[in-house]
Amino acid sequence: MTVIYVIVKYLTIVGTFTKAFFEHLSCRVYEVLVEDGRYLARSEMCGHIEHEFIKKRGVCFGVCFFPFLFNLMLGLMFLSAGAMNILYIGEFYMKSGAANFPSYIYLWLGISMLTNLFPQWEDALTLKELIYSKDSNMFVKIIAAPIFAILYVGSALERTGLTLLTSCGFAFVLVEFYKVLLPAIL
Amino acid sequence: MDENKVNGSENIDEEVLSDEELKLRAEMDELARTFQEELDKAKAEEEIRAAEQAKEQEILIQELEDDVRYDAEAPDEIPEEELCECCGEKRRGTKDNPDSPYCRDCERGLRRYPFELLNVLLVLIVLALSVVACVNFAQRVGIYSAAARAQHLEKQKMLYSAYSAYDNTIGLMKDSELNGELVYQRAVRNMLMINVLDDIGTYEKQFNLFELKLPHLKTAYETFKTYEGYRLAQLDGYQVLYEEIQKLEDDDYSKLPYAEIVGRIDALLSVSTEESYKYQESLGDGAEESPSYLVKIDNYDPAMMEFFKFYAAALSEQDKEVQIAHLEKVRAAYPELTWLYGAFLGDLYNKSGRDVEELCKQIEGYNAEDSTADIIRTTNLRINGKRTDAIALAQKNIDKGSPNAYEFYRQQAICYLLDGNIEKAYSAAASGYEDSQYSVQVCEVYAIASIAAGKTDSYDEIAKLFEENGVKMSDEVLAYKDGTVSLEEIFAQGDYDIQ
Repeated sequence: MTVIYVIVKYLTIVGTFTKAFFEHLSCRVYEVLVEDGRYLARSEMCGHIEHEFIKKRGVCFGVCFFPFLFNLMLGLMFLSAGAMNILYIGEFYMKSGAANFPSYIYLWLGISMLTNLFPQWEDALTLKELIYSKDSNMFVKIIAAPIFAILYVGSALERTGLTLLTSCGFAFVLVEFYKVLLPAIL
Repeated sequence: MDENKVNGSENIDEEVLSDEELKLRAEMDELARTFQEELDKAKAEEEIRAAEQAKEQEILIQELEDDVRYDAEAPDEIPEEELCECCGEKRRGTKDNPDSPYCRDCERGLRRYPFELLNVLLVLIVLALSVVACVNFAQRVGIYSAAARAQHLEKQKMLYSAYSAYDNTIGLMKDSELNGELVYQRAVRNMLMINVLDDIGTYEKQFNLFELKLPHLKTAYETFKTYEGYRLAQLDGYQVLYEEIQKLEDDDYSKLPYAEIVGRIDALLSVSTEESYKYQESLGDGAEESPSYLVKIDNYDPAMMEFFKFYAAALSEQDKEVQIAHLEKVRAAYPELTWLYGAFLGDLYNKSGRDVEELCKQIEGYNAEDSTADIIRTTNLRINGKRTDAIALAQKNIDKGSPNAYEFYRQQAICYLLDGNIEKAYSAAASGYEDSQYSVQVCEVYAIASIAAGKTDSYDEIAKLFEENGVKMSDEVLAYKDGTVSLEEIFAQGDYDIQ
């Protein structure tokens, strides 16, 4: 499973890299002790930062959520341009006859960002422990539920490399979304 | 003595002081007492602060002593299992976390793990690229929107509106020098569905031939193949018919040798199209406007050829069932090309007394904006004697602005003629003629209505138009003018219409 995981991570290397960078940034902001700062290690830590066990709920949430948010935003920017150009209007070649590399690159970057959205599985488990412990506030449990569910399920999928498929599928969903949205607003 | 004197005088004073003066004195005493208390409190706080400062100094001195001891501790003095995991030189554990595997300095550093300059630069490049992607998306959002609108109309089966929307989208793409092959694919499919065939050949140039064989452009490939099948059938199948027409000594098409024509068309089906392409190339050689057809077919399309067999059957006035059989084959092979068989088949169904509703629903199912279905229904109502309903349905389509309004006016004119309402019949026929002067049937109904209404000027205008264009006026019109045929015989019997 790790082999597939690492292959997917290297296929989507830009997203892997930025995810690790944003995780590193979050650790630094929250002063979380980083034990291994390599972004592209050939192990299950590829695309993640090895850090100390986080005991504070807010810090753990921040370290899991903000890298997800930043990669999601970048991914949507790239995927919007790439998917609409390639998958919707079909600009496979430019007027000059050369392949439309910019749009292919946007598409790949978008997919690679969206493949690497979720926290490391251990972090997701820690977050679960901290949010859904017995002495945790019920209000927090309810408020955090949607985001936690996304992070938790996404993390489980990312462990198996399945997020590559979900992000490819999302590219088509995004096209359908724009097909409905754009004529309605323009 | 003096003391006694003073005390004596105070006592005397107290005795002599009024109540008001006594109250004032009490207040003064209270004030003095409060002042003394505040002074004592301030002194006490000062003492506490001094004590705290002394304690802090003591702690700082202690920490300094610890640091000196910590730094002075040599690695070989510390047991290996207690050495920092990071530097391996100092004792592990910190004040806050004695179990930490790192020394104090290393832990402080690891909590602020440094960024490599290259990593920061790479992330900045990615961020800059994301801005470029956003700008690219924003610049093209109008094209995406236009393409989505066209596709939405196509899905709503509003194919004429979709054609206009695709035309607009392609215009925007050309302005932006953008070659959206999937948009062209949808546009050519739409064009084929509504019989706008002129541009299909030129749009082939927007595709690479190798791409057309790939799955994502399969629809475009199939569209070009169907179009090419129709084009070749029209070119070579119709050529057979044309040659036989040329052989006729007069213009009586009923003398056309139907069986021979069908035999010649069938013979074409067993040969390759290679010769035809060679012939076309020899004709188009050097002609710049000649479209280069990327998609070629090896054999003639049997279903398309059936259409020209039907054409021969219709011209040679074969039995309706024979004609219907040819068109049914076209319908089975290309149900979506309703423009090819719909109107003819509807007319034949009406004349042979069949139910037309299924066919009408099929036509509307492919193109909701196609009024052919309502023309068939109007004719059906008229033939079945429900002329009021026929007039109402025709009017509904005229009011909607149907592009086939001239045919609805014609149907109304026939209904009014049969009802004996000559004035309205003439008015409707004149409106039909105004709407389109290219339909022979519209002109002939206008001629009949003119004769019925005694408008010789109008009839002469039609006769002159026919003469100028070398078209022979129908025998039925001439017979009606001579008074040898009644309106009922033309429109309520036989073929229920002018031949």
